[in-house]
Order: sequence, then C-alpha cells, then structure tokens
Amino acid sequence: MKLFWRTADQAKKSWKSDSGIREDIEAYLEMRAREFMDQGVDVEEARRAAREAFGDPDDIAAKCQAVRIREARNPRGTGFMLNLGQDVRHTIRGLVKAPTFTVVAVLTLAIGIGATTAIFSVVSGVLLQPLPYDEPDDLVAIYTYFSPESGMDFTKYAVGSPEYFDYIEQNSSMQSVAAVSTEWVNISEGDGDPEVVVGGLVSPSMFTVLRTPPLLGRTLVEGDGGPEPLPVYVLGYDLWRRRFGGDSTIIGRTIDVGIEVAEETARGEVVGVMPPGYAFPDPRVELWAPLPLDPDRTWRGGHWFHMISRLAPGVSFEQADAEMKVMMDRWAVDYPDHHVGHGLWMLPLLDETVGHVRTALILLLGAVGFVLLIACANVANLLLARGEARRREIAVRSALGAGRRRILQQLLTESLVLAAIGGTIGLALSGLGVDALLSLQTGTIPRVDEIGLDGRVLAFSAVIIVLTALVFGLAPALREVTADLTAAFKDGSRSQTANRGRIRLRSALIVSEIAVAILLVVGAGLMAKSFWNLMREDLGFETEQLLFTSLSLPGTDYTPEEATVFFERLKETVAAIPGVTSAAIVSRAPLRIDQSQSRFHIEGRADHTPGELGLQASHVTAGQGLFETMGIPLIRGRLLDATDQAGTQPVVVIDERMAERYWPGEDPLGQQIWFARTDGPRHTIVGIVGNVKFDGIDSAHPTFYHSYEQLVDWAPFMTRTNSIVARTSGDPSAVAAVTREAVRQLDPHLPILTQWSMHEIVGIAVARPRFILTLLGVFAAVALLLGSIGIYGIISHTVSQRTGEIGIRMALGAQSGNVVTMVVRQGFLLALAGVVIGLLGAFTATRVMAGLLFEVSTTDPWTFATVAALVIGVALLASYLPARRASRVDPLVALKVE
Amino acid sequence: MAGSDLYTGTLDVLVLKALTNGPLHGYAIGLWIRRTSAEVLSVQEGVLYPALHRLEKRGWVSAKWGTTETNRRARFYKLTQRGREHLQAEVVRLTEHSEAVLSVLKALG
Repeated sequence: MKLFWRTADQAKKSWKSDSGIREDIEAYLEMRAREFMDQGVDVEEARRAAREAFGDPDDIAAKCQAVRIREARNPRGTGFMLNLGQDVRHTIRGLVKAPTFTVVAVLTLAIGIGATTAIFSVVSGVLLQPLPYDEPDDLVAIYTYFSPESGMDFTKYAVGSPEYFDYIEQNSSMQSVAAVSTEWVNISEGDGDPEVVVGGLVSPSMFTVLRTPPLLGRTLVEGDGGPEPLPVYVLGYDLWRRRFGGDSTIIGRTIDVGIEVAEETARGEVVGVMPPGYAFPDPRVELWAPLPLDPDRTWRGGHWFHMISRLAPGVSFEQADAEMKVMMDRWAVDYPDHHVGHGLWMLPLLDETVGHVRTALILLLGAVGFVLLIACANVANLLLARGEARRREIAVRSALGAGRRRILQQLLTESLVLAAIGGTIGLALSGLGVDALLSLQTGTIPRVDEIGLDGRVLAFSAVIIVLTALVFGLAPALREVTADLTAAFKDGSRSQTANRGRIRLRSALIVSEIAVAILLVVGAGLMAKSFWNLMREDLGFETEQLLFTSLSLPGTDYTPEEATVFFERLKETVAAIPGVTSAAIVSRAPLRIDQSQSRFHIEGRADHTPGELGLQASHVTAGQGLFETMGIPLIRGRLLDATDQAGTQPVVVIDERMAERYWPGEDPLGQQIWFARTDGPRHTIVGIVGNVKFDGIDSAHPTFYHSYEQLVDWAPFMTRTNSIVARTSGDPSAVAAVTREAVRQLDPHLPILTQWSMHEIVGIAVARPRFILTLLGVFAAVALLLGSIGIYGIISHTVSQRTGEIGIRMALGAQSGNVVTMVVRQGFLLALAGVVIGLLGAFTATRVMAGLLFEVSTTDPWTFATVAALVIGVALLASYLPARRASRVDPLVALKVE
Repeated sequence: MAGSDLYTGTLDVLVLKALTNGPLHGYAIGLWIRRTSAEVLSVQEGVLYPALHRLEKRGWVSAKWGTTETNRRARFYKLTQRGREHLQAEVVRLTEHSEAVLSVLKALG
C-alpha cells in the first residue's frame, strides 16, 4: 500500500508536472554539453551551444505537456476542436514572445476594425434600421414635381389639397393616405418660459397610416379634421413631460397654443399624449393639431403639405408607383393648365428620411473599408516578415508529424486570434468613434437616436474579424506552407528562393496598399478642394459681425399693422444697443431656407412660352437700411428708403442676376412686376444690387427684395415672421443677450425662434461637407501612414538582406550617395506602381462623389497631381530612412554578416 | 506534398529504430539519430522530447527513471511489443512508398 502510494505520488510528480519533464531535459543538456567540451570548448560555451542546439527548454517542455494532454484525450490527436484549443494556446504563447509584432499588428487591426465598426454602426442605425412604425416597409412619402414643361423646375415640391383628395379617390393601391405639414407653434402654457415648438398640422389619418397607438387618451380621429377642424391637440411625450410635468390627468384640459397662420384663437383641448420617440413628419415635432382640408376647394395653385400613405396588403411599391404614373398622365389631359409637367410622385418613406445622407454614408463606409484593407495588407506584411523567423518552427512542427493542412490550420488560427484581439479592442474603440462622429456631425445625420451597438453591428464585426483574418492571414500562411521545407532543413535558417518569393508577395502587397491609399487621399483631396471652394465663395455681402435674431409673432396677438409697429420698434431698440452700428428687418437670414422661390410676371410681357422656364426668382423682404447693414452693394438706381411706406407705390430692388436673366440688353429700372399668388399691385423696380447667395452657398437664384414697410398693403400675412439683423462693431455674440432682453421688454411672452451670428450660420451650412471631409481626411491620413510604414518595413528588410551586397559595393568604391539612390529607387518604383494603379482606379471610383462636390470635377487634374506627388514624396521619405542607414554600413562589418 | 510527407512520422520511426537494441535515455537516442541521419534533428534537437512523450502515450515505448553515466536522473525508454509491431509496419510502408516513387522516377528517367 505504501509502495503504491509512493509510486503513484512519484508518477504524478514525474508525469504530470513540468519538473519531471524538465529534469529529464536537463540531463540531456548536461550530456550534450559534455559532448561539446570533448571537442575542446570551455564549460560556459559548451552549455550555451547545447541549449542552442536543443531549443528553448521551457518551450519544449510545454510541447511535451501538450502532447501528453492531447494523446490522453484523443489517442490520434486529430480532433479539430482539440487542435484549435492547442493552437490558440500555442498562438498566445507565440504572441507574448514577440511583443512588438503583437502590439503593432493588434493596434493596426484594432484601428481598422474599430473605424469600420464605427461607420457601420452609423450606417446600421440610419440606413438599415427599419423606421419605428408597424410594418414600416409599406410606408411611402408622396410629393409633387414641376418639370421645366410646367414653366418651373422643382424635383420635390409640396402637395395641394385637390391633388390630395383626387389621389385618395382615384388610387387603389393604398390602405390609407394622410396629409402632413409642420408649423412653428408658440406655447406659453405649463412650466417654464414661453417657447416655440414644431407642431405637426396633419390630417387625422396620419395616425392611421403610422399605426402607433397613443400613450394616453386618443390620437386625432377622422371627426377632428375637415375644412374647419375641431380645436384638439395631441401632445408629444417630451413636451408633456417638460411643460406639464407628465401629468396623467391632462386629457380633457384646455390649453392655449399660438399657431402663426391662425388668425383666431387657438384654444383647444388636449385629447392624447404620444409615446416617447414618436415625432412625425419632422423629428422635432412635439404637438399635433388637425390640418384644415376642404374637399370643395378646387384651386390647384396652392401647395403647402406633403403626403404619406400605407400600401394596401399585397400591393408592392412598384405597382403603386406605376398606378400613380398612369394617373398623372390622365391628370395632364384633364387639367392641361396645371398638370402638364406637374404631378405626384412617390418614394419609400425610409428613403425620404435618409436619402440625402445615403451617398455620403456609403462613401464613408467604402472609404473605411479601404482603410481596413490597407490595415490587412500591413498585418500580412508583418506576418510575412515574421514568417522568416518562424520557418524553423514550421519545419520543426512538420518534422514532428504535422501535415500541411495541420500547419495551415495553425497559421490561420494565429491570424484569427490576432484579428479577434484586434477586433475586440476595435469594438471598444468603435464606441468612442461613434461618439466622435456624432459630435462632429452637427445635424448632418438623421435618426441619430437609432445609432448604437446592436446585434447587427456585433454580427457585422464578427464577420469582419473572420474576413480580416482570412484576408491578411491566408496569403502568408499559404506562402509558408508551400515553401520548400526540405530547403529549410538543408541550409538551416536561410533559403534564398523562399525569401525571394516572400519579397515578391510583400512588394505586391505594398503596391496594393499604395494604390488603395491613393484612392482615399484623392477622395479626401477632392473633398478638401470642394470645401475650400465653399468657404472661399463670396456670399455677396460682408459676413463678419452680423447677428440674426428671428421671431414669429402669433396671429392671435398681433394684427399685421401691430406686427409692423413691433418690428420697427424692435429695430430701433436694437440699433441703439452699444456695440451695434446698425440694424434692419429682413424676412430670413441667408443660407437658412433653401426654397423660397416664387413666380412673378413682368408688366407688358407674355408669361412664358411652354417648355421654357417661367419667371421665377427668390424673394426676400427687406426693411429700410437692410442693404447698408448687410453690406450689399448698390449697382444702379436706388435702395429702399424712407419714402417707401404703406400706401405709396410698391417698389422692389432686384439683383444683377435677375436683371441679366430677365432683361438681357434692356434696362429693368422703372419696369413693373407683380406676383402670381396675390395677383396684387404692380411693383416698380427702383434699384439693382449685387448678387447675394441667399438660398445656399451652392445656389445662384435670381433674387428680388420687396419693402417690409409696404407688406401690409399687399401681403399682410408676411409681416409676422421676420428677423432683425444687427451689424456689430465687435463680436456679435456679445450683443446677443441684450438683443433678447430688448425682445422681452417689448413682449415678455414672445419666444425667440433662433439667434445666430452669420459665422454660425455658415458653419451650419457647411456642416455636412465638413463632416465628410473630416472623416475622409482622417481615413486618408491613416491610409497614408500605414502605407508608408509598409514601405519603410519592406525597404528596411531588403536593406538588411542586402547588407553583404552593399558592403561589397562600398568596398569596391561605391559612394554612399550611390547606395542611397539604389535603395530609394526600389521604394520609388514600388510607390510609382501603386500610384499609377491607384490613380487609374480613382479616375473611375471618384465618380460616386459627384453629388458631394462643389465646383470641383471628380477627376480634377490638380488634385490628382498633388496627391500623386504627395504619396510619392512620402514613399521616398519612407525609403530614404533605411537607405541612409544602409549607406553608413561599414564594408567590413557588412561582409562579416554574410 | 513530398516535403511534409517525407518528414511525417520520420522522427517516430527513427526513435523506435534506435530502441531496437535496448533501452536508452533521451540523450543516447538523440545521439544515435544524429549519427544515423544528419538532418532530422539539425534544426532543433529538443524536437525529440515531444516525440518521446507521444510514443509513450501511444504505448509504443515505455519509460522509467534511471541513473545516467553522469549520475543524473533521466528517463530510460524501452520499445514495447506494440512499438516493435508498429515499427515493422512502418518500415514496410516506407519501403513500399519509396519503391513506388523510385519506379516512377525510373520510368520517367
């Protein structure tokens, strides 16, 4: 019994623990060292040599242990999962032993995978996530178009009520149809200061189309609507919490709501509260009221809402679209005055919500995918460089009986482990990336609440990790496995043929990296040039030191005359604020609204001939002193002045573009125009001013300015929503608070719509291009950096391989300059090949950016040339560093190395 | 394919062969192999040890502790009956394989 225990104990000690295996190995090493000593080597040297011949004892002991475990579990040792576990352990040991390689590879992959995951999170939330409504794929949005045949040119325009009622009556594709629009709404009920919120003026059927049930009470129902709708309101969740403290007894309470267009009191009953996150047709909508819609109204000239609808069961979007097109052909015949070149068109509701950012997001996803590819190429390069050092190991494993497939599996496991570690870190980084993206995007991206780390993003990263591992791991692994192993044994650690093959593969990788980097840098370059053009664009006035304060007076409190008095008084008060040099009334700040085109007629001239654009121009209401305050130059005639008052002859000032377009070779001064919608009084053109980009930096609409003081005579409804623009002597934000106080002094219940300096307005206007530029710029920089690291790596490597050759050349009298040239030339040729391929690719690939560029061709020769020069320059620098090292080689040392 | 097939199991066979004349410790096995076939251990001699443990686990060799001529403890390996049979089978297989290869080469020659 005692004997048994001792034996068992000893067996345990000897077989199960490392110490037994190590002791056995130590015996070997000692006898091996003696063998060396017999050859006359001293003790220390003999020990070292024995160890050298044997390999790392710890590693061997670990392998023995692994063999024992594997054989015990699976006598033939071929189980895939077992191998996998073993491979993973082996890989991790290997990675720990090569910390520099591991850190560089993991970080490269983490950046690549992290950036890709971050962009994909955005794409997933914004483009792929279904809309938060029941069966969202059945929802469509409907707009109208005006093609040039109609005399106007709008691809996306609002809908009028006869069109809405006709469509409801004639279609057979839709389950339900709704009219939706938004209005600024003043609300002073409840807690807090009076504020302006976005209200949804909608047909009650909107709630039927979207199907979302209310949180409290009811939604709007059919009986609420009609030509004279009931005064009922449905509140949004946030508004209900913010102003009414989430009071669940609010249903049935009567509140006052100031809607600008309503002349009468807007006192109404709260009938329901919607759940959190529900906001339609605009993400800012916080309150809904019925939109007045009169089926008896037949005038087809007015358009002020758009439509949404839900496809009937079994009807596809294409069928509904085809039915609508047939219907429009019929309308063109039935209403030749209105529906030639004008009609309804539809698009899926998701496209309506995100269509404008789709190109940009897909472009960014493509760009970041390229960055990931470059990262893969770099890691593949590192693996190839490492492969050199590992050929012994692979030969050993082969000698141990591992088949080719087994070794391939081991190498790919290594890639997978690297990718998984990099990917996990990348996934963590992607969270930061998304935060950074969202802080950069400033209103560029819709549906930001949908962005997050969800199952789809996780699945995507998992797929990306596996793909990445295959992309960067397969080529090096195949290379190692097919390399001639016999050769590896025969000449020890060196094999020139295997090396040459590896260098070729590495060169090919570098060339592809450069080519892909070129694509990204060209993309970023075009975007940068476009952005530069945008920022440099002359808006036509002095943009510095201007402050716009925008107000909307409720129709319930102000008649048009009172509104005029209010704005005049406010203008006087603001002009008197210290630091303000002048102030004026204007209907809108430049760059803020993109569609305020109106049609007009010229006295004594036929409107237009069919097939041509009609008379169309952008309009701005200008108070006295506006041109002086904004710094818009007078070209001819006179500006609006104190003589232009209510009751006097209405006047307009036009810009040069309008003069050239509609009075080419004529003098517009003294001519008269009038406006279609009002069919009102004739306005005399009294002056011509310089062109101002009122409708957007990239727009060039003819513009006319009518007098604010004269509005009460012909368009009183336009007197209430206006801005005060102030020219300041210092920083405009310094007078912002005083200006708000001036408004409060005049009317304590009046909320301020917006208050912005012109500088801020420009910032908002260029937010999207800046966002895209920033991201593309970062991606291009990373690509360029990775590319140069790749070039640096391969040149350093060949320099070290060629040290002997270089030594001989220098011994034979080559100048160090010749050596530098020889080495740099190699880098230059690689870069040149990459640049040529990259530019050819960019020539076609940048076409996708066409819609995003401003005054830059997608094949802008300057950008292409600059980028080519930049990339070649960086490549030369990356090869110069190792070349200089080579040129300092001491020929004697170099020859010894060989 | 020739590259890896040739080495698959070669070391195993050499170890078994080394033990046909009686039990040996690891160093002696290694010495015998190095003298017989210059290549197999030339890359890394330590390779021998995982092979020994695998052969032991497969029951082709047995091991017990003993004392070396340098007076150290070391494991002595002995060929088992199953190991002897395996070696014979392998010798037959390898001979057939190389004869097949040779005949092909001659036919091509």
